[in-house]
Amino acid sequence: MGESKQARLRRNILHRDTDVRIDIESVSVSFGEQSVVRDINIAIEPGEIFVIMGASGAGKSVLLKCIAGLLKPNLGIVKINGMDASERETHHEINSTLVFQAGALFNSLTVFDNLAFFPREHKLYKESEIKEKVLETLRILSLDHAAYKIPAELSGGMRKRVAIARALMCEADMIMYDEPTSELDPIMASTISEIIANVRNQFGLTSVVVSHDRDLAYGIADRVAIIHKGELLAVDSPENIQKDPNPLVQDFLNPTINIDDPRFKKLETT
Amino acid sequence: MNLLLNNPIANFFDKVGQHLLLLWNSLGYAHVIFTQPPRVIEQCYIMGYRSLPIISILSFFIGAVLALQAGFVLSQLSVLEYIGSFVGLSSARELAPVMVAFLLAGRVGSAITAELASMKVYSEIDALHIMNVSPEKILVMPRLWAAIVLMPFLSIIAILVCWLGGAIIAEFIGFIQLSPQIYWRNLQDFIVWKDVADGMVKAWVFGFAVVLIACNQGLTTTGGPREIGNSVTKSVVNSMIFILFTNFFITRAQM
Ligand SMILES: Nc1ncnc2c1ncn2[C@@H]1O[C@H](COP(=O)(O)OP(=O)(O)OP(=O)(O)O)[C@@H](O)[C@H]1O
Ligand SMILES: [Mg+2]
Repeated sequence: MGESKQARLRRNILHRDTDVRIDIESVSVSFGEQSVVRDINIAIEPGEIFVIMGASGAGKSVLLKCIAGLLKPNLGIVKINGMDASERETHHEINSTLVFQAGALFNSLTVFDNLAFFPREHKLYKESEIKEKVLETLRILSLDHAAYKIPAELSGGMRKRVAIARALMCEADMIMYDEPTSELDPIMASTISEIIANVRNQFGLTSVVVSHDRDLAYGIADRVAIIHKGELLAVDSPENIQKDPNPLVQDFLNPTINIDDPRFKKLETT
Repeated sequence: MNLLLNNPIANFFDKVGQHLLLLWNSLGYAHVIFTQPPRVIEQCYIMGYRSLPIISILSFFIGAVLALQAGFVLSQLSVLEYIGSFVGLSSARELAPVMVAFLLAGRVGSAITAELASMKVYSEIDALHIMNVSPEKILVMPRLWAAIVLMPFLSIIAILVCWLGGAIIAEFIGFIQLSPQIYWRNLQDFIVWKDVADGMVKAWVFGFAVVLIACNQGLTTTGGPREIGNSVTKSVVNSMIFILFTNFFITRAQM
């Protein structure tokens, strides 16, 4: 039983040309009393770079977890090529991967072994080929010097890049990034944007990116969605979304810095 | 719904179900001992290395204290030679397997829970799921195999060291001074292979359960890093309760 499933999975991974479409249908998530995601409907097309933006705590990571199948929505369903994302079977058919907001690196393994984990576990290549691929991926993300460090010895930005590198090693048909450019300097951030776009162009994989980074959204997104307190405000191309009349959208995209805001009066007097 | 969840009886059966499910899912990967022997060997090494020294030391003192207590009573009845059978039987059938299992819970079970709970809390388990690698395969089953392979050895060592401790104390304590020849002959006369085998079966069941409980507790940890500590406590306490509880029934069944 184990073997044939494993073999099928291996074939699916190496095959790597599945078009993946994601349908988020009336998804709601709540934790106890707190409703975090409210009735969201989005259809993400195959090969699209779809960027989800929204204020901190708006429910973006939770929505992403629903798409990744790590969390079952309380209401509604996420379908990946018509199959329920919360079923494990779906992920045997469609190889997807997720860059976690906090990295979720394997703390007991070196950076090298973190990257090699997926191909080794699924016996995709010979060890020498794996080594070559890992070193190549590390080089692209300027991590060559960190290959034999363990995650605890890395800076926050390095950890993020290792998480991205590890996801790239998964040869997925669908990739999700949770704030891939937070914690990175502007140059590295634009490199990451380029990588996201490049991987998509090369393999046609469907990419869902959660980010606050406007440069990333305007630069590489095919469409942008804005979420506010768990509700979908707008979905449109980067050009159109900048012209969206909704004041909440405008506030989010073009925040103004107002140091005379009455909120801070208390702070000043103390 | 809430009523059902907060009910201790429902909770208990929920826990039992969780363990059975974990066991069932893990047994589906029983082939790891052939396909990934290094993982199993690594766990055997960790388990044996962590627990063997302390098991030896404690077993020695258990044997010693048994000989001391038995010697005190038996010398008044002038049947000192029975120390051998007393120490031999009680350690082989009860004290060695139970103490080995307790030590395993404290030394190995706690470490397993801490490791898996931290992997859970820091999303490493989610990362495994995303990569289509099941935690049962790479985390749980190798540890279960290690318990299956190691427990007979650990328990036989514990039994032998207990006996040895009894012999040494019986020989050198002033009011006993029983010669080792008599001690060992009496032990041989009364102990049959089944006694040792029964003890090993107990240790084997306990060891397997300790690892299963530890893995389940680790993998079901939710919340922040603080929960890791709570989980470790729960894992050790639940293991001990399980050991003492089941010990009664296994003993009854072995009679
Ligand atoms: N496991 C959980 N249990 C309870 N509440 C949760 C859980 N996960 C998230 N939340 C709550 O859901 C809300 C949305 O969280 P989420 O992580 O999706 O925010 P986010 O949009 O990703 O924010 P950020 O940009 O800061 O990462 C928050 O109010 C958070 O407290
Ligand atoms: Mg988030």
